[in-house]
Amino acid sequence: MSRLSAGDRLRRMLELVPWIMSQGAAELSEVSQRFDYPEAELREDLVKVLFVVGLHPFTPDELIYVMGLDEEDNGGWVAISNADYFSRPLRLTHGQALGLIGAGEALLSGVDPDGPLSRGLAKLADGLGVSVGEDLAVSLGESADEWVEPLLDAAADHRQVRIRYFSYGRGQESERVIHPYRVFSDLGNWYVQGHCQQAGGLRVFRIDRIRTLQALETRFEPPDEAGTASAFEARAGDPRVVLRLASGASWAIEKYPTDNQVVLDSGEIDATMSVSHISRLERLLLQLGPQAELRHADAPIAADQARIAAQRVLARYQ
Amino acid sequence: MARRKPEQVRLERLLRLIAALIDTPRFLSIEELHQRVGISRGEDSAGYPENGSAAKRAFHRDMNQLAEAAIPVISGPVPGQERETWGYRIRKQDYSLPEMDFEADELAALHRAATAVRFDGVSGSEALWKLGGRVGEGTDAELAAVPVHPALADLFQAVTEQRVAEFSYGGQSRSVQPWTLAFDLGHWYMVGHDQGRNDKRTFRVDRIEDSVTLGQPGGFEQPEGTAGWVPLQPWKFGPGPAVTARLRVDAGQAIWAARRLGQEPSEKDSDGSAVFEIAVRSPDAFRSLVLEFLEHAEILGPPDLRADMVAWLEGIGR
Repeated sequence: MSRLSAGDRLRRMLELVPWIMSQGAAELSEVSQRFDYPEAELREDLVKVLFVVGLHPFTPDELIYVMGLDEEDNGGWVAISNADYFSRPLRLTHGQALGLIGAGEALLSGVDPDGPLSRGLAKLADGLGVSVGEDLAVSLGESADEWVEPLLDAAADHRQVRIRYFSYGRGQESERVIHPYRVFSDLGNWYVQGHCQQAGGLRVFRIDRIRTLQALETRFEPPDEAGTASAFEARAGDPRVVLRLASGASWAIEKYPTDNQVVLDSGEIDATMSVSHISRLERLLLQLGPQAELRHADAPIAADQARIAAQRVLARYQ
Repeated sequence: MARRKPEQVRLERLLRLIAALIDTPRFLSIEELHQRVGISRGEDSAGYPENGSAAKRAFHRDMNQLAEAAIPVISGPVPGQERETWGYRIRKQDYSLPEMDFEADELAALHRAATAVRFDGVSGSEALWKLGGRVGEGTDAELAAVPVHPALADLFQAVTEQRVAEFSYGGQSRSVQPWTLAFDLGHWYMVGHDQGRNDKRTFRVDRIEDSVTLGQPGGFEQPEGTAGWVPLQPWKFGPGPAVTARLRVDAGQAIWAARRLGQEPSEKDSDGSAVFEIAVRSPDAFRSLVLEFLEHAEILGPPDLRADMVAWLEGIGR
């Protein structure tokens, strides 16, 4: 970690002092780990700073007592007293409470109701006066129940899995062996990213389109850096399009990440997007109808891709 | 004592300032705070400059730092002054986190949850420090990133404290008793009682047009049985009476369709395709739903919904 600023130190110090006080005494190394405070800096800040903090007129009986440490490197534990004003940690901000309860709530379905997450979340929600599931509901994807857990396990153990997968774009099922690198949720759907042996490359699969799944005994070599995946992550060489959206159609940009957006004087928006799957673009074009116009399309996307897709769907109605 | 780094000297002054702000039963003026924090006697000595205007500037810098750390400093009149003087203090009940007493495995589970599901712009670590530090490994594989809208923390506060929320939405000002916040299909929603329309409404949080103004805590009573979130199916909501649409979905998409629609098919054909009977109140939302399937679904009836779809596609396909 780079050098901590005064603000970084302040926030950590206000939380670690009450924790040490509640413990009676604590190992310096454990404090360092829990509060992400490099041990040497922590030792210095406790001895050179906290030790001289106190109340006016700063006579010794008004200063915080820091025991167990000195400036030299001996003393693996620390105790703090005479700091009643720092004896409780700060309240969570509403944003922090939302983030932590929301994260716990999102993962709650399918975990043991007496397990540590359920218990911890219950204490947290109770302490903050929040009703989980009533005040706040977080759903990361409809399919979370079935294949997410086995895929997470397989990814953690570096085990290959065999799946029967329905490809929405091609309209057919196929059997594949994949090396699951990462499982993630994006825009309400769960995905697994990994190496596909049949395709011979990195692919992203939607978990709700997996029909059957079998974990294999064979292991795989994990990649050096899986990176942060997004379902819509642009791959080099993905074709790009420029879509002109009517001013009322800006939801399309919220739903599909864009590379660039230009708002025109008319209120219309020219959005540049990478297209990883033509079917995704087609769906968007058909849903938008007259509210969108394809201004530019890299091959293999046709300038009249919307018309092509519409004709294909219309064929069903004739 | 060895020389200290500037950020350590700054940290000492900030800690002294917080101690002074907490250790008072009344508002303290800036002059009183300067005195209680002390005067700096050189680079290595914490405190405010002796020069009055330099001291004031330093004090304001410190107050900004405290605001950044979300420390709840309040201001009010200093008692017993001839001329009205504004002062500051921190009330313990605003500052302190309620007692929650987590077990180590509970903290570790919350830590894993906070690293697996990231709320944009919310530091999970800071929330965890307040609860007693980070315990356990967390996970380096992020499962999901949840977007956070600026109004979200305010709305969360409104839901948990039963405060009426006022904001502008769809070009109109709304006054809403918020019941539930929910993240579903990639977006945040707020469900509540719209006081102006005297009815239950669902709002997209990212379409709230400005900041949210909150009323007093306990500003309304939530009716029984209204809490919680029903997954989003926009075609079910609309002004008109419901019509029952019949939708045929190809074999390959039938399982996915059952999940998306939240219902089982009413018929299954020998080729594996399925027919769903769907209550539709919003024809536009229904059309968008059907177009998600591209050419793999067909509206069988009623005739006017089928004709709407054909007309829409012909408009694009010309």
